[in-house]
Amino acid sequence: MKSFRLFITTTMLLILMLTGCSAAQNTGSSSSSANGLPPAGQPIVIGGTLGLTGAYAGPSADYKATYDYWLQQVNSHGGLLGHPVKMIIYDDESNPATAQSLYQRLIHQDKVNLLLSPYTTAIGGAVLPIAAANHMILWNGGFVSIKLFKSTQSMIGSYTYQEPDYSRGVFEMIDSLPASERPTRVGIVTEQNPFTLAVRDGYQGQGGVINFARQRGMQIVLNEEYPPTATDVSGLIQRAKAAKVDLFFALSLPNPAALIARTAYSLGFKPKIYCACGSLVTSLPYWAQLGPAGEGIFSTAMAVPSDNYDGLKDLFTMLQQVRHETVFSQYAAVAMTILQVMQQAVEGARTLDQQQLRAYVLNHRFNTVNGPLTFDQYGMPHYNAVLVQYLNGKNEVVWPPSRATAKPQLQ
Amino acid sequence: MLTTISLSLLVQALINGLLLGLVYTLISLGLSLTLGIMGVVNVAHSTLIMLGSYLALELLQRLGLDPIISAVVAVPVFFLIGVLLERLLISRVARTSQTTGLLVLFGVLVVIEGAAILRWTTDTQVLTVSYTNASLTLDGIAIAVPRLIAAVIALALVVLLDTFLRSTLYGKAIRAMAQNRDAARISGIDTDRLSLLVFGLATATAGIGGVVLAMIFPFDPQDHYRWLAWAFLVVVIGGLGSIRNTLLAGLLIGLIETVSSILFPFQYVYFIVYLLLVVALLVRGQGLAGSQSRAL
Repeated sequence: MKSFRLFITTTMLLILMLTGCSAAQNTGSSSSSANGLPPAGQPIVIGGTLGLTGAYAGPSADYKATYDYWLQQVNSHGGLLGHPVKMIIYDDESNPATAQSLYQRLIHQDKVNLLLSPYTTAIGGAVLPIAAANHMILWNGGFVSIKLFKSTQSMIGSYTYQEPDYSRGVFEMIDSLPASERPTRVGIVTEQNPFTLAVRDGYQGQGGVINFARQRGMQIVLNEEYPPTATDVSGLIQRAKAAKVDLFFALSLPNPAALIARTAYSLGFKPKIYCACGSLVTSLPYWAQLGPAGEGIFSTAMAVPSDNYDGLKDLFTMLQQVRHETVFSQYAAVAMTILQVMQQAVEGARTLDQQQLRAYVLNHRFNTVNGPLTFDQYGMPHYNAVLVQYLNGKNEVVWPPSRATAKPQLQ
Repeated sequence: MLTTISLSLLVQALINGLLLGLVYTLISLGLSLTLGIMGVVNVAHSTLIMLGSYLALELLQRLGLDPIISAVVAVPVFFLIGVLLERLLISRVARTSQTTGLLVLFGVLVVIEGAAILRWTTDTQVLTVSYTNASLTLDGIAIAVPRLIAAVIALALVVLLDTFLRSTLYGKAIRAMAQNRDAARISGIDTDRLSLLVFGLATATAGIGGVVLAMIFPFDPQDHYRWLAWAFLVVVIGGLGSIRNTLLAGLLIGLIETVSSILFPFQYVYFIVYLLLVVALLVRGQGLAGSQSRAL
């Protein structure tokens, strides 16, 4: 009798688990209909986390402001497929472990229909396996990682570049110069960080500063790494100067990027082209505070206010009003982009089925604040970045010519 | 691996090293005082430095105050903060285990850092005035003006503190307290009051250090840990409580860092610096252990 009860209990549990898994696999929520949509009048629930406190509080605030803005807009226009939209954004405290438990909660307790990624690779990489194990798409406006994209079928991204392509604009711009003006001696200083190292090295032999430079017959005369805690980079700059570097890459995150720029300026190091190519640094508000030390430096960006993309100017206006921002936030751009892609995919596919949504995204074109986007087989948007140069206190687009607002100024 | 270098490259590195060493000295003075004299392992030291940087930023943005003047303003402001910290926290756990004191100060670190994030967010800040990007050039050798200012301020503080500790009655009493607190008290020295003074002075130097760092380095509320590491490194190598040794250790580390960065691949630079720490601990056999016999 006891064994029989155990058998019945086990069977019931198995049925419950299988039913639950099946539901999660198809819809990722408590939805009742075949296409995963909630009953009429019930909201579609979108969930995610952001580092609203802790190390990533600054960028996360831009994401949150953009999410709120999009939510208000979409609900004021009748929601998604006639359903109101509810958004649950938890504070992961910029901590991967906290984020992991919160994503479990979002999936199993809150039963969200759509899952947004957190900000930055360290946190996003930690929650990706949870989304994948529950057969949910991670709508990723939060981080870049070609390695993670290629390891899963569970992500759709909105950053319009991956690490290997980050410096591509610089080299394409150089290709357009007369041969006599092209730099030939490359110096690279790289912060010891997975992102910046991949920007330098590329991925599986493709892209990366070193490959791009070698393909063009340039000589790499300086290639050094430094730890994120470095306090003095004068030795690196001295060596770059002594090696007569005329194409300089500082592959750095924000704080060291400023330190390197200021040190280079004070030591009189003026290469023909200086790219702060490890992060979107010149698009951050602090770059203006660098004064002349930040002038003339190249960097990468995605959406710029001069672009005429859907919703871009309205988004910038909102950021100016709500966040008092004077420089257009690239974080807001990718946050808005992923929501626009998600919205258009749901409306186009008329389903919340995760695999159908993914298939829809991979086979359609999307209008976003980041421009018209198409996606590759891994869910990564095709490359669509610009090269900017910080001139007279603001970023000017200098490449590609179709989006340029100024000509590149070489030293 | 070793790079061939020109004389001008070496001279530039030596100058950079001296200036950097004086910056290290500046941020380490307060730690050296609290650790060497009071036996307090002040892990919150770097957050006080960070607050100094934000004081400079606020005074510049709100009142247009030059950072050099902010460094002067920082003295009474941070002295008062130090006095309050000592009276409200340090003195209360003064005779408990060192671990308790360490935990209390770690709590102070967390609170200051958290409050700073709430007030200023985690965004990178850069402080720029007319001279922060300026440099003097002599025969092709560039000297960054803000580093020169930092060096002058550091040297002035070293001289003042050393003179105070060696030549004044208060200073002698403080040194007596550092050698044996109980004996000093028995001989009539008001050690509680002196502790207040020492912690106030140490905090004031941290505040000045923060203002000066803001002229040179970008900063954010969570960037202070690296300065804590460097300050400990200087204090451990220099020994405890000696202002002159702190200066020598700061200069030594600065010179080793900049000279090795032109001789070796950069990733070895910090390995070499930390090797110096290991050697210092082995040879001197003192390091932080010098404070372990004292309760906080």
